[in-house]
Amino acid sequence: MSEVAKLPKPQLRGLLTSQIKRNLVFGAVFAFVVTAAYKMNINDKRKIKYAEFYKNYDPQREYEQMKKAGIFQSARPE
Amino acid sequence: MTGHQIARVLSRQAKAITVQSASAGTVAHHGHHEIRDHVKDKIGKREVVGYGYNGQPTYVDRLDFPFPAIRYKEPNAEIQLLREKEKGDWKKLTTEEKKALYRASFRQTLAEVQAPTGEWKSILGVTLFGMSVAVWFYILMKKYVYPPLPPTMAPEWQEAQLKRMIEQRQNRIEGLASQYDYETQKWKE
Repeated sequence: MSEVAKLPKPQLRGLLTSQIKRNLVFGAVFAFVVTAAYKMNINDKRKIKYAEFYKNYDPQREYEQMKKAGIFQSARPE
Repeated sequence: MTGHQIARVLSRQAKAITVQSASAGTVAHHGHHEIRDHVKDKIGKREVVGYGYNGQPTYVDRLDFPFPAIRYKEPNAEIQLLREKEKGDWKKLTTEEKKALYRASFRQTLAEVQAPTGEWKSILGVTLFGMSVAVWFYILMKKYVYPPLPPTMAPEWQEAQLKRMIEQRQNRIEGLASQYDYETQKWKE
């Protein structure tokens, strides 16, 4: 039998505990990263979009345009 | 368990590793009606050699349990001779004899069991054929069964509907109307 490189000895005791600890860390990090990414790319982006929209928003002008298009039942165009 | 039943189970286990008698199927009893063993009826003269994967004397080639309960072939004169020889030194058996002994006890080698069968081709073919039949069914349904589409599906109606949605400024920040430029009366992006 030819010699091949020896593997490192695997952990034989307390495997479940150490696995749980490792998985807790991974899970916490993953959850944090995903939450942060979601907040930045979706929540904050949406807030920016709304802020941009309402910065120069003129509701009166909008109302006149919509009235002219004829979509209101109680505010007909002239 | 009554004494009767215990005795029956023990005598059954003692019979488990013996050659089956020619009167296939019936189990010896203590004066009750005859009960047929429907599995044992089918194996003919085949020798039971172990418990098998579930206790029944069946032959199955299984990778996860490669020890069938019965031999594959029924015994004949040549195999009986080889069995006697098998009781001695195996180095004295020729390769042909070893193969004959193997094939008497097993249907396929494990390599043969694992070998690709090409079954996936027929599975794929039949599946695609079935899908095409379904498409034919849809064509026939559309032609002969379904009532006509409602007027709201006509393109002119849909365009008028879209125009109304834009005029109402539906979803004007993130959705439909946000893609429309009201200054130039044209779609953005």
